[in-house]
Amino acid sequence: MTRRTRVTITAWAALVALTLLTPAPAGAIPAFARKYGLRCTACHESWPKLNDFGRAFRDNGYQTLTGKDDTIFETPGYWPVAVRITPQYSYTKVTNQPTDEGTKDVGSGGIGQIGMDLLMAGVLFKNVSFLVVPTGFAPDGQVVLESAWVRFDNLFGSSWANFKLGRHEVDLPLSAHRPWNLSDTGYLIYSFHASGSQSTYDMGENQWGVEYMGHDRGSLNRVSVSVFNVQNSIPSQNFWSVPGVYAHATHEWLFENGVVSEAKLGVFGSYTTWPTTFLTSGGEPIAGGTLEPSTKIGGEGQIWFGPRATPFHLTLAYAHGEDNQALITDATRNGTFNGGFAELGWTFTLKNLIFARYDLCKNSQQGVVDAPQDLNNMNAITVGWRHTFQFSNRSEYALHVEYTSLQTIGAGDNGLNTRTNQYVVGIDFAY
Amino acid sequence: MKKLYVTALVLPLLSFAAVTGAQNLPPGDPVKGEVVYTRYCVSCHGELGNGAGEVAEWITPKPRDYRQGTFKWRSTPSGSLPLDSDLDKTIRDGVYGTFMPPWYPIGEHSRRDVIAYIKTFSPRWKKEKPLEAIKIPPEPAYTEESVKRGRAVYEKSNCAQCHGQGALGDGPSAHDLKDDWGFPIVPYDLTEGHIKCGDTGPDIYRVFMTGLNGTPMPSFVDSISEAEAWDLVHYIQSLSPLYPKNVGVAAK
Repeated sequence: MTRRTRVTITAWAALVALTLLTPAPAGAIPAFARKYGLRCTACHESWPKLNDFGRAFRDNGYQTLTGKDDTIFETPGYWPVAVRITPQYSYTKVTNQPTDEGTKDVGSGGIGQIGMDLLMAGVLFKNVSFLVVPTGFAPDGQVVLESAWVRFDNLFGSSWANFKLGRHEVDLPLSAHRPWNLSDTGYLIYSFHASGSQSTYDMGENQWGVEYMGHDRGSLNRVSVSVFNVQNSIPSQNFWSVPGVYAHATHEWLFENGVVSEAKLGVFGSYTTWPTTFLTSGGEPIAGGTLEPSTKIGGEGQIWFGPRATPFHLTLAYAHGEDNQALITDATRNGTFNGGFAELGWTFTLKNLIFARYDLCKNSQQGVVDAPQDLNNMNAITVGWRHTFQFSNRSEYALHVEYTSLQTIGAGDNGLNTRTNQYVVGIDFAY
Repeated sequence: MKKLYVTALVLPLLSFAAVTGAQNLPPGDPVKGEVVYTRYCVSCHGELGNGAGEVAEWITPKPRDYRQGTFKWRSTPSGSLPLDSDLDKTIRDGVYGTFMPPWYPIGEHSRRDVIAYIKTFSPRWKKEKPLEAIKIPPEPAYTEESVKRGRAVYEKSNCAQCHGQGALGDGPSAHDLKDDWGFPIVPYDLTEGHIKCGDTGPDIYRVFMTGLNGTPMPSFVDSISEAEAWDLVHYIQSLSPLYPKNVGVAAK
């Protein structure tokens, strides 16, 4: 064996070694696989993204509705807990950063903090389901309750009457917590705001509130409305502190022509508020006053080509957004923007997925008249490959390789553009 | 406006056609069906189709062993292979009270493909064809009188030997029964309010008149008439308010 070969092998071994990073987003829940005896592939198109059966299972309140859902049918040894960790090597480089030595590209890679997701989900009683996801558990001691909700399912015997209470993910076109990518580049349009907006509302971030959800058999038709308190804002003195509402409706067609297996169209929108005036104490804001709105409204189209067991899945999503001028410092008009993403995923075998996504968000009107038109515009390309080594009804683990490149206009030193390139190689465990 | 009306009419029709146009599909592809099977079925039914998947040891009732070509839920006479539509119904709707979930969301094309693959596990599919489905006469109205007659049929047919006097599945023979694979099998609790293969009148009718292949549940087609079979259906439906009942005008 040559020295070069030894170095190569050692380098790859190091890359896939157990280097740990901040927790992966919540996603596949092997506890369900254990409860029903199914492999992860039964519910996940390519994990963690759900397929039709998984969506229907989730919409039914984590139930198959065949009389085996109630916890009293479980052996006492069954415990509805699953764990996900994603040890990975990650290298990130950002261009045009301000330093004392001038404008520099800054890069860093390697080991991050230890962390994991604990996923506890299932039914408390028939038609009462729950999800609790504490995430974190890194050496810094931080643990965040990413999800904590109870859902009353199939009220009055109808799949159109389901109510969820607690911290939950709103019903997004594609879940921000079940993306195929592990990099830091999420679906940009979910968090995007007009340039300079104070609001940090992120559609992809779980919110404390209430959700109504209804669906038909097989979840071909779905509607969801969430009403919540917008996270991370200073509470206001209103009856409903900092209110926000999100809604989503979809219709799905099934085809049997052997080329297109299914197609889905949907509309979604959010109306959220953010305080712009405050009561202060010692100069620090303690309670919000005037609330100003941000809106997003958009649509999605999804299409699955080929066999549904190994689909080629294309998703297009678009949204138009607007932030009130009062949210933007020195603004004389509202800031508006357009954006979305196009994502491809091909599960060419049950164990292999290749995926790619292009995100684009552009300001169409800056709130500050003199600001450059393209200030804070963002675009990103993400590509990756997942190879699942093994899956059973107990656990699953996969090799994950990914590259993402995110450009932000004018975000760098002296108004230069920045480009963030990130390389990820890791193992994704769920058990 | 005219375009709007046309669109409003055409779009639902297209949707309906997209879903229901599957009635005249060609047979499924077993090669594609193997991928479907591996994705959804193998953990219970096993890679060899022998019902010995990785979880089979821990679940009751056991997953179907496909190698004998023996299937419980059919519309065909006792001893016959099932029709493809029977297999599709089982896969689509699941089997209540078991770990067989309803696979409706995977779509008819995938179900047809996996049915084609399942058939490769048993040589029986190459040697014989399923018999024709039994004819089910129209269901009469559910009445107190039909329920009483049905109780009499229940007793005459000695159903209580297995299902018990109260139809709770606790008859004298209940603890001695085994299926064709040698696994213990318990008579169904008919007061449950759900029947494994479906809750409608015709679903229950089929069980008596075709029997459950591979189990001690025989067909009664030669010992009870069609009218008696419907009365028996109504008696079973009277055992729980959850069963849907055909309460027609005559019942008032």
